[in-house]
Amino acid sequence: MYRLPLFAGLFVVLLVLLFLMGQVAGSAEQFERYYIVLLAANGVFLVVLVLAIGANALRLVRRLLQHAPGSHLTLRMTLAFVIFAVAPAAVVYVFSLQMLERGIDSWFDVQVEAALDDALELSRASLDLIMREYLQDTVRAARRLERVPDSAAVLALSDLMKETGATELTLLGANARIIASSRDMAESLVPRLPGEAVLRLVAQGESYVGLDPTPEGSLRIRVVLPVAPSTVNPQARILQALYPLPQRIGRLTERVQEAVGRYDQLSYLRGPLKQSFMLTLSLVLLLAVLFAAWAAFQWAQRLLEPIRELARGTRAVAEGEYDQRLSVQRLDDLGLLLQSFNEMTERLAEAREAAKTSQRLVERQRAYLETLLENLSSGVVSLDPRGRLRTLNRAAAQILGVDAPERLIGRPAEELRGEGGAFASFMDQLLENLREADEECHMQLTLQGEKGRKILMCHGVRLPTGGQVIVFDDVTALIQAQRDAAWAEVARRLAHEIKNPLTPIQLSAERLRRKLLDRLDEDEGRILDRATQTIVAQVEAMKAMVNAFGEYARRPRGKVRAVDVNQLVRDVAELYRANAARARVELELAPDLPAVQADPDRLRQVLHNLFNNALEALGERDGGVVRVHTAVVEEGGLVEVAVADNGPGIPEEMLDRLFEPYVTSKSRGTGLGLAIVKKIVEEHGGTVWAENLPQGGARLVIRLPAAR
Amino acid sequence: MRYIAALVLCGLALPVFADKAAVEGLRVYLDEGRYRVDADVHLTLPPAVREALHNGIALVFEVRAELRRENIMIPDSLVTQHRRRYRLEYRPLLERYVVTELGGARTVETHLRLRDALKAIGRIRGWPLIEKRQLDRSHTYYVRVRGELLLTELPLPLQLHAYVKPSWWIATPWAEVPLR
Repeated sequence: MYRLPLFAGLFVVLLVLLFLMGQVAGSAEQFERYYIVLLAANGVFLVVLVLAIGANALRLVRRLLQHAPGSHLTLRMTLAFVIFAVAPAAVVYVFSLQMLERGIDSWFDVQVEAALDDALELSRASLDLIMREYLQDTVRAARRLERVPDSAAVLALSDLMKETGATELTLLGANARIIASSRDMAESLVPRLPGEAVLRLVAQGESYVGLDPTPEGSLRIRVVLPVAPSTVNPQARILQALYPLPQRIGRLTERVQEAVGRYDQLSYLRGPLKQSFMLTLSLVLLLAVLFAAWAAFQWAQRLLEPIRELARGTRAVAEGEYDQRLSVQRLDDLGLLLQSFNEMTERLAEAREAAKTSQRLVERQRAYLETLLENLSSGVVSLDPRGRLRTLNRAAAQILGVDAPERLIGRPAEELRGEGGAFASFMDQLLENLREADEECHMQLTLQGEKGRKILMCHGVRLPTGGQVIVFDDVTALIQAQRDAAWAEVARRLAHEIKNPLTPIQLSAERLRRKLLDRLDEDEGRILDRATQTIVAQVEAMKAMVNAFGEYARRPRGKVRAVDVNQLVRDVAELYRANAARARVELELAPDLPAVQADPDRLRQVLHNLFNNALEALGERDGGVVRVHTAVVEEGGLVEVAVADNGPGIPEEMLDRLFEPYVTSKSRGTGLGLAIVKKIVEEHGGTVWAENLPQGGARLVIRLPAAR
Repeated sequence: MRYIAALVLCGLALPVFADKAAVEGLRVYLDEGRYRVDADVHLTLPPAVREALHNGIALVFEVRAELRRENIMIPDSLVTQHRRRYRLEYRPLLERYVVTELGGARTVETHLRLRDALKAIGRIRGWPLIEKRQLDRSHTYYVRVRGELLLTELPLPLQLHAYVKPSWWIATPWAEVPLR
């Protein structure tokens, strides 16, 4: 905005300078004395313009090198403007120079010069004639004064003045001393004495006659000549006479002199005059052109300012600064463009703000969902439309035994089938089921892992955006608990419904035998005896079985205290070392094993059952070894007891159901040993599992929480 | 201070004092309680200037006598000055050089020879400077005299030409004499 007043100010200064230069060039007297000042002022203005243009040009070059927007357009517009300004000015300049040259030369003419010289010569001749007459008159007057004494000189001079028509007659003595003087009233009070040179000339006996200019500007004739000494006046004297020039002659000669002087002066000043005019003209042109160039820069910059502004704004928007507002200082087309840009950025900013708000909302929801997913006890797995694994929450990783779920995210589900372990099995079954599923599906998957079988209840849904989400729960424990509860109920019923009639059956059988044996003959008595023996034996067997069930169904009695597991293992092992005929018992006990909070009797039963199980697995084979080791695991939180044998191992199909009642590979026993183990261990908050060893044989592991 | 000024002036004005332009016979004397100055300022005109003179260009000379007081720390100060301006022109009709004193007196002298005309211009006789009683005895004073051609009085087209041609820079160096 500040450019306009500056521009106008400089333009006014330029106009004033050019006007004054024009006036000076026109020889206006009032400006003559300021000519040099004006030149200097013009020079300063010129320098200012050159500096301003230089600064503008430098800025433009820098912008060109930086490939700034609008710089090329500025250059083109400036050049065009300068060319349009300079071209006509240059034509006018050249034309003016020629006109100037010819115009000034046309003032001078050889004939005029010759005429003036002739006029001058004529004037001189005319004046010579007059001066000679006056000289003769003065010579005559001098002769008459020769015999006039000094004392009478004044009167004589007065008479002579009347006779000769002189306006002043002065008689001088030695050293130019005035002896006498007579003057017209119009003359000055003091005689105007001749100069030294004239006096010297006269002293040599010569006469002097010449024209003298008066202070008033007219001419008069001065005649100075010696007055010859005489007997009356032995000393040499000088007579000076001043005559007025006849008016007409005087006027004419003055005119001639003025014309000649003027012509000579003009002729002499021709060169400097041309130079001066050329200088003025050049200066004016230069000023005008430079001003035009500077104005072109300013104009181009002003015109292109909105474009630069727009480019700056566009760049800012490209960098994401939507709050950029361009200043609209004009109401022309470019101004409207800027206004439109501002409206656009405003809308963009609003849209971005809305998008940000929406994004924040989505982020919050996402975080909420993630938290929900992560803390969900159910496993959640999702696949994107291209079949890539997109989500695998913590519960899913835990259920599927995945250590680093993040390495699986983004990988194709098909590829994950080859990962191995429970996860691969899960993916395998899942994909098979999903292939045939509709929008929604329910399925139960059974996984075979290192720690046994897992049963998962899955619920899959196809997402509206494509892809699928599967929510699943590990129901193994639930099913196991249901099964355990069922068995406990069976045990309770057996104890109640079967054990009660057994004693009357046994007693009845024994009574039958006692009452009838004696009455029957030998053969029948033998049959009866054998039958009753069988009944009693079977009832005893059934009692043992029912008692075992009772043990299985029995609830803990609560004699819990700190138990040294190592000591318990040693005690139990000692019994089996003595009794086991073929198998060898080896102990590997951890030295600083913490105690566990347990019922020692029930824990002892667990160990008995495990030992029995191992020995039964070894059977009658030679070289059987039962190896028991204790350890601290899970950073001291659990105590592990593992009983391993080098027997035939457990059939794979039985591994996951080994701890259920009546699941056994052996022909002997109640089939409740390991079920009781599991029940007791779980009553103590521990876990138990069985696994086959790579080198052969099986191992049963229990883990119990260490006492704190 | 005046020596410094003189040195600077000599340095600056070296080309100006061409053709032996000089001041001679500078003398300050007391006449009836007033200091007066006599001097002869010798001005000479180079051929280019003589040509201009003979072509109708009037030349204006200024002859100046200054009384200055010496200062120590600041430039010397002007106490009083006496200056006269003369116009020198050549009248082809008269074939004489006319010297007109500009200002109040406007005396007119004609000279057959240029040398006489210049001599008349440079002749300083009995120019009054200052009453003796007006001077402060605690200070040192000196008188200096100079004559120069005034380029500003030249016709306009010639001025610029004269400013750039050293032959037109006609001036005598300052001639100084202490006031006792």
